[in-house]
Amino acid sequence: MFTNLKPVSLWLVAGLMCFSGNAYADLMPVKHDAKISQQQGKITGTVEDDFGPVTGASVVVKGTTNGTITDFDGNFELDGVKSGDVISISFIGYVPQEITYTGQGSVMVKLVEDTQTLDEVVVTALGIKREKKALGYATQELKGDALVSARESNVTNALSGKVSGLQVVRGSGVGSSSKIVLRGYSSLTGSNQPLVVIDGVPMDNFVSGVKDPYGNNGVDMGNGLADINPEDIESMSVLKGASAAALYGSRAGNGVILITTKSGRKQTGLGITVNAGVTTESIFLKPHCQHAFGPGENGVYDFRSSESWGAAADGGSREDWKGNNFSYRAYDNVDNFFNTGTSFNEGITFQQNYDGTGVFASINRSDDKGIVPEAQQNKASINLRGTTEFGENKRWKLDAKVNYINTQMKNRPLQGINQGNMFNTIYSLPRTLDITRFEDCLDSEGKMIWWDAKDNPQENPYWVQKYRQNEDTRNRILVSGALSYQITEWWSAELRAGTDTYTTNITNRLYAGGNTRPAGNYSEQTDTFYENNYSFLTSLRKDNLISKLGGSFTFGGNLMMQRRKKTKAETGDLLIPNLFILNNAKNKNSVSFDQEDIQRKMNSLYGTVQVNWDGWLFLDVTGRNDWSSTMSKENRSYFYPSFSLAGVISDMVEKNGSAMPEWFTFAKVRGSYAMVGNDLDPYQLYTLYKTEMDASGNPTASIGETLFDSTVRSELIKSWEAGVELKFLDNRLGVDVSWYRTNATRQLLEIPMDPFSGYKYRKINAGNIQNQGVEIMLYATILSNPKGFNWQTTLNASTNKNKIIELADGINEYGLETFDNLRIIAPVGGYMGDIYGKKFQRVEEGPDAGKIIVDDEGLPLVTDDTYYLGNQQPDWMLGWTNSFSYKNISLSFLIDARFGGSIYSSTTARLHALGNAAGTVVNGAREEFVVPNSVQETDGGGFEANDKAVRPELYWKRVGGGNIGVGEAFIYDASNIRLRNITLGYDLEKKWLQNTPLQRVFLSFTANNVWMIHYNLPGIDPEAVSATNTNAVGFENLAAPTSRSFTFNVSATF
Amino acid sequence: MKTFNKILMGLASTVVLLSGCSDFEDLNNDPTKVDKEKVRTHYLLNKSIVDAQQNPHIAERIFVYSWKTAARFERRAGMAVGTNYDSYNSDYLGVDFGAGWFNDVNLAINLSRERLESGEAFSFEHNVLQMSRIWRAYLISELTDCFGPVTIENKYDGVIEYKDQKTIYEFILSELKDAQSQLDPDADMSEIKSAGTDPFYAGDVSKWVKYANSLRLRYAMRLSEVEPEMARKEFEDAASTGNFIKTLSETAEVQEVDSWSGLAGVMSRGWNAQPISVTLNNMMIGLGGGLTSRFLRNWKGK
Repeated sequence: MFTNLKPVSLWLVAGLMCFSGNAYADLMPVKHDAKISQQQGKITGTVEDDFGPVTGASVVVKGTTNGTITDFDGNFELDGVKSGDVISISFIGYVPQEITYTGQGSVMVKLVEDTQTLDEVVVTALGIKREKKALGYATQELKGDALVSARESNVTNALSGKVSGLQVVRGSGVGSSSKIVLRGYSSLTGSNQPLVVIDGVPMDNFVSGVKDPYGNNGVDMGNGLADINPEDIESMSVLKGASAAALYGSRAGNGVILITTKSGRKQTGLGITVNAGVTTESIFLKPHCQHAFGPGENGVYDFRSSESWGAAADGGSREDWKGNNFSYRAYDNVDNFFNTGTSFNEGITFQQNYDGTGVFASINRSDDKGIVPEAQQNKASINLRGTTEFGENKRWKLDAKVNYINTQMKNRPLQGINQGNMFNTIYSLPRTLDITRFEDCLDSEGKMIWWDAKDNPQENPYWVQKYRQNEDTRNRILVSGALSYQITEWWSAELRAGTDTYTTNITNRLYAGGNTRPAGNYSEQTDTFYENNYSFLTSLRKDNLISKLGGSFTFGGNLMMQRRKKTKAETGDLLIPNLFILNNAKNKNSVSFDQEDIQRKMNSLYGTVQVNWDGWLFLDVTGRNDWSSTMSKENRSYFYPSFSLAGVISDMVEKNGSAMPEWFTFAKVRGSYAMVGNDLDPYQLYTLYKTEMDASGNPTASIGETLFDSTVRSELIKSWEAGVELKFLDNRLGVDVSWYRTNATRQLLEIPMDPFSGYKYRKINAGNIQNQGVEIMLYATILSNPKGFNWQTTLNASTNKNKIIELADGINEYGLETFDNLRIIAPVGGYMGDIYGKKFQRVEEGPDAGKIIVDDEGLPLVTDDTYYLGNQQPDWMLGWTNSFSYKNISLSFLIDARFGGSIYSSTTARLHALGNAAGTVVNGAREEFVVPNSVQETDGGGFEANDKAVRPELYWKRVGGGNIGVGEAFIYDASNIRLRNITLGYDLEKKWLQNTPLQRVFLSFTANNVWMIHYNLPGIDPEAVSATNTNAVGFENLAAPTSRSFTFNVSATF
Repeated sequence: MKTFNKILMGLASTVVLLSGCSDFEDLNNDPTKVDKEKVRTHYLLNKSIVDAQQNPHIAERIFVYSWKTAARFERRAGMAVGTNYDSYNSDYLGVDFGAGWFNDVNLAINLSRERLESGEAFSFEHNVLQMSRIWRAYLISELTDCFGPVTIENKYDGVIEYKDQKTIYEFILSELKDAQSQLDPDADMSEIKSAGTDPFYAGDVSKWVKYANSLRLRYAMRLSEVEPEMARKEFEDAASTGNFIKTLSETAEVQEVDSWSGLAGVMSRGWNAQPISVTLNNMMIGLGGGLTSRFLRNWKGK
């Protein structure tokens, strides 16, 4: 029955229950009113700390819900207090205080900062809140503020540099996708993305992106997580390894990102916050281009040429392609074509708590226009969450949330090798051609105006932005609801349900008059997705059960169902030009349809047993069994266990009577072992036929190219982890080091077959891919003066070695991607993402060993075979944040660095071959030169020093020519250090706001991608990779440039 | 109340769990794909024939770079200067092209045989089997003439046996002889005709007989130097039927459609320049005195 429950009805039910909870609270009178006979008093007082009054501190009669919060001046008034009641005064970050009421009229409470946040509670798998000290594995938590302050429109990018072991691989441009890689790549063919869970409900974080090679171009459709409004996030827990994520079983293979959104908290004043921000964006790095030479070849000016090997650009007057005279000098086309992007972001948030019922509501709108002209994204998000406690003794708790997001994107830029890729067009333009002269892009006959008359030229980028349109709209709803009941003091139960559902409509319109497809084209596509989850969880916990042994036991289950549908129709050439309806195809037989319907289900049961000894030694055992529909009956059920042990040495020492040295506040060691998996994609078991139509409209049938095997199973990941956490000087200095080793076995591989067998590939389980590394988190509060200057610093560092231990019998390497003659592979005994390409021929041995061999012309010879050039993965990643504050002013900056790893820049190769790159001009000229360190082969088989000078044009065409250039010449060290973010904030003086309805006004200024301190490519950002949907990210080709942005934001709270 | 709640929750969770696993197996079949029962063998044959006409990608590699440049019909280096294009040969011999066309026709043959054996065959099934065998014989000759030893059949049972060319040619000739003799002109081929899945003859089986016999003549001639006795015997055997292609209308032809598919004509693609000689150019435009109408007097085409 539950399988038929539609998400919409669930939403309505959740909403209704929310309201009924509220009504219930109003009807029932507050309990203590009845006991008027007792001595009832009223207590007033002021709560203060070192600064002055504390606003919003909670003052509650312990054990009841009779409470209030302090106002602006720290004053409070509490009625209905009877003698003997214990009043508890608390506020986040301070040590709670208790006063016993014996009839005092007024009290003064001084709160002291709690530096010992040792009982810090974090959210772990399945939403279970645990004390951080009890955990046997590494997690890292980020507060919502840290994510908001980065002011990134895609919240995924805000994670960069803030979590050790987490690498963000980002596309660039408005609406582009970003990929999260936690602790390296464990799957050769999978997406390697962590599971994203929001308020207990998984969210589909699809990652699109565009592979670079021929035939695989298109637009980057973004990633799912970008839909979330960062202002709604309360905190984000990153469960990095298998042990942390074990309770998610077969979806936990790459870790889990747990997001908790804000729920209603008591606020002074109305609880409404309004915020508005404006962002400007500009290109961060531009390829280094020369300004000295114009179009042509051999040093001769030729306006028809698409290369810049022509005559020197002396500023004189020359004739252009139209026959007009123009000033023959270089133009900065990148600056002239691309815009300064502007974005506006506005939102209102409301949160409040009334007697145990909390409400959080937010509306947010953002309109982003990036640097690419005509590309824009408009996003609107509405979020509503209510939590309420009701029933006898408030044992029942209901939590319901609805989040609706509407995203509209227009004119995503084309990437990859495509005539419409405007980055390619602009970078490749002859240096003295002024792109702005083509703004008027249509001639009198409605055809595109462009200077290049050759076969298959690039398209006029102005024409592309106006007449090669695409737009997509996504409506997404995230619903979650949880009902829990505290059965007894030590036994609770919870029922939870949620859904993530969205529909994306994509329209592509190509107008007539272009040069790739003069008759135009039109396509409509609809993608729908839903995932429903229903789960229950019951927990028992008791401390000091048997002597000092305490423990808890949790048991639960989950039903998951997921469906993804896609329908697409494309007309091919249009009959009536520019009439975009599906009926208007010139050739009915060229109308193509594409359809996809992928469904899967998974049922699970899981449980945990936690035992603790005296509150300092903790043992966790978890187990989860999944039954997945994507596997055949025999292999359907699998079990994932995990074990972890944590010992808080400092607590142990104290509990046994001794004391830790004063400066040594906290010490903990931990270790764990877990097995998790990566579920199989649907439809990997049986080979079926496909029927299509040939170009005459007659039916054909074929079988797929892969031989499926119904005995195939899911990937299994085994992981060991150990760590140490130390804190010193009253928590002012802390370090957390983790070591881990993860082995992903039973990889799903496609092994090539003899084509005469009928198939190209066979699917098998084989292989062992290992990730081993260290994560370090270091933080220090260097200066701490509540009334003066504060300085905190945090360092996240991680290193990971991603080794291929074995694949299948007889297979020595597995290809991740091939880009012409460059291959990115996973070789047995090597590392994931090894880049192989061609090299210069060099002398192997003898006195000239290592020198480049040139041919008769003096040009270097290139090898036929491919050789190891580098590996795409970084050796070390570093994120260093420094935060300063002085009274109301705060300043923080983040330096993000990546050391090691290589990237092949095909754009640079192309720019050199065309003569556009600055590297082709030396001291303003193009003199002939002898290839340094080179030899020529003599007739006798020996070598002699080379003295044949070559023209730069011939040299660069040899080295940068072909489709992507010679591997050795354009492989770069991808190491880079950049100042990723600076945030300056100012909190308006509270005394200025006293007579206004405003509680707080906060101004902030943020800059992103501020300064590239060091990098090795000539003007191309090693992060500008468009192939984010593959595991081969060590190749860059004509991707959108990355951008720098400045944001000014004002937020006012009422 | 408390116990009731506990029982309720326990019940709810059990019901919810148990309702799960039963329909898992149904979910494992991609609904956009078709299982064996619904597939027609003539669809598979159509795909094999149409794709073998070479789409622009493979035509470029296997025809334009070699034959067309050598014949000087293409202004490009290619074979004419000995350029090495080996990767494109392996392209041709892969599942996307040559080996793929061969596999498709074998799928048709296997499925036809299965249906005929089961006794539940369509009216056209027997003929489609023979047509597929004739077509397969041609495909094997194309593969082996260019690349040497290949397999002669694919039963999709994991067994791949490469045969030497003598065996291959013996197989080709015997297949053609047997298949053409089994074609039944009286069977109902209307489904083939209406579906348009016989690009050569629209289901006209008598023409397939002629095609098969003409192929026998051709392959026999190929063996005239290396196996003269066998060549003579086969040739005479085929010629004696008197039933082979004698007029232009009986040629096995496939209608070209300008598209990115096998039906695009190699010499008539809209975006590929086809250089002609100066003499021909002058004749076409009437330069040098010759009236175009004189040279194209008998032209009756479209």
